[in-house]
Amino acid sequence: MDWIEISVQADGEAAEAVSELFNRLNSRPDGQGGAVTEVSGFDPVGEDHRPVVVVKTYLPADEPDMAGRQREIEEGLWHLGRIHPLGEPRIRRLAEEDWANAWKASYHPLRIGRRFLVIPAWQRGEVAVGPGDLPIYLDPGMAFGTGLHPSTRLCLRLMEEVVRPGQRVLDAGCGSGILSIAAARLVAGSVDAFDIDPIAVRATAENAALNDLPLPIHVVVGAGPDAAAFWCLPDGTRRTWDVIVINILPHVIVALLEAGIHDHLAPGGRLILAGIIQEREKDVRVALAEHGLAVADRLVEGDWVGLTTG
Amino acid sequence: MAKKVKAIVKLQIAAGKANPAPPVGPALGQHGVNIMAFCKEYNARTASMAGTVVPVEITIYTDQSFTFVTKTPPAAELIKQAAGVQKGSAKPNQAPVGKITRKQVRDIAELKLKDLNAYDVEMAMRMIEGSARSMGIAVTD
Repeated sequence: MDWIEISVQADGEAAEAVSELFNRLNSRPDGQGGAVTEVSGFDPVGEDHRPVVVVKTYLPADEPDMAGRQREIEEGLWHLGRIHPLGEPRIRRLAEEDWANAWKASYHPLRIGRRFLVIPAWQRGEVAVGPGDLPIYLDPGMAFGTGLHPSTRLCLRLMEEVVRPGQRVLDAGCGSGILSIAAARLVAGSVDAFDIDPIAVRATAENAALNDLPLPIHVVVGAGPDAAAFWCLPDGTRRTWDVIVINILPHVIVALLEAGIHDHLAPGGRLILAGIIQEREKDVRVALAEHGLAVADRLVEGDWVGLTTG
Repeated sequence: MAKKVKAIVKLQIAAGKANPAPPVGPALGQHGVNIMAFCKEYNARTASMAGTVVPVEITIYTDQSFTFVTKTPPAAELIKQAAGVQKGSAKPNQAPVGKITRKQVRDIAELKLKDLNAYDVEMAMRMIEGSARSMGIAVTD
């Protein structure tokens, strides 16, 4: 079955009205149809933005009286256009797709750095893994960290340079678990991880299970060095790691430094920091300097920066 | 993990009934979102609300990961309830179908405030009034 997509650009209040119109004239008893409002136009950090709002609805093209319903919607939009400023409606025909699987076309095996090879879980066995490759099997889901964002790639490249076999690694804000899995592939001595989001913690555990790793990843829900049990040994002394990887936004990195995450570095330990848009790099560097930490390495990809301390 | 927003998609889906057919499929599929992961999670979270339409706001990040939150009932539903009408007007500028009071507008605005792009109740009221007018429902004092 083909579908007719009707879309119209609108501002905030008008978008509500168009959405109501689509929901009123195109809601189906099976719960399908209705309005889709899409807001885009965010800046690279995803904070300030000039929102572009588009409202869409989908009509099954081949159902009886669909032309009549389409006409009714177009008339409704014309009337709304007398009250609110609306863009010209765009109408296009969409071929039926296996929507449940079509999204997978966005994912391909991804070589990152010299040795990492990120492979979508459903392509396991179909992708040649060379003797020197470090495969990371991932099922992309809700949690951040698919390998498609420069900040993740910067982290992986820096980890290749920094993490040595046997080292203790902490992945702060683990998302999908991609960096934790990478640490395990680099034969770290131990891998710990935390994230404030329980969905990310679950994703890390599930993705780790896909990878037959040589060591377990210990992952917890937590917000930073104030969650005491994770940060102390049973005798009450402070836990330390040789490498702490933080791929979060600059203000969160600064907050973690203020909370003393660097106090959990073992002697000679190093931080790997990413998720830093270039224009905010200074904030991170100032915070590092305030805490007596020096930048050792810097990598750039697009607008994004990865740093290590030395 | 570092999250950078690519788009926000708002939908209204029957509780517990999300599936990959339109609108969910094309709306999320074009952003490379794992549709079954969304449907599974949405249906699990809304299972106890069967019989109602639950608006959902999905934030999609630049690496195609996503989060979502469910919202209060649609403003249009609340306006129709307040006006005691089954549906809005197809020609709101010509054929009004009902009316609601400013007090009712305020009640709806207060309920919807956390889900609207409004700084305060007054601004939310203006948005609700706009929605009511667009449905052919007049606002009276």
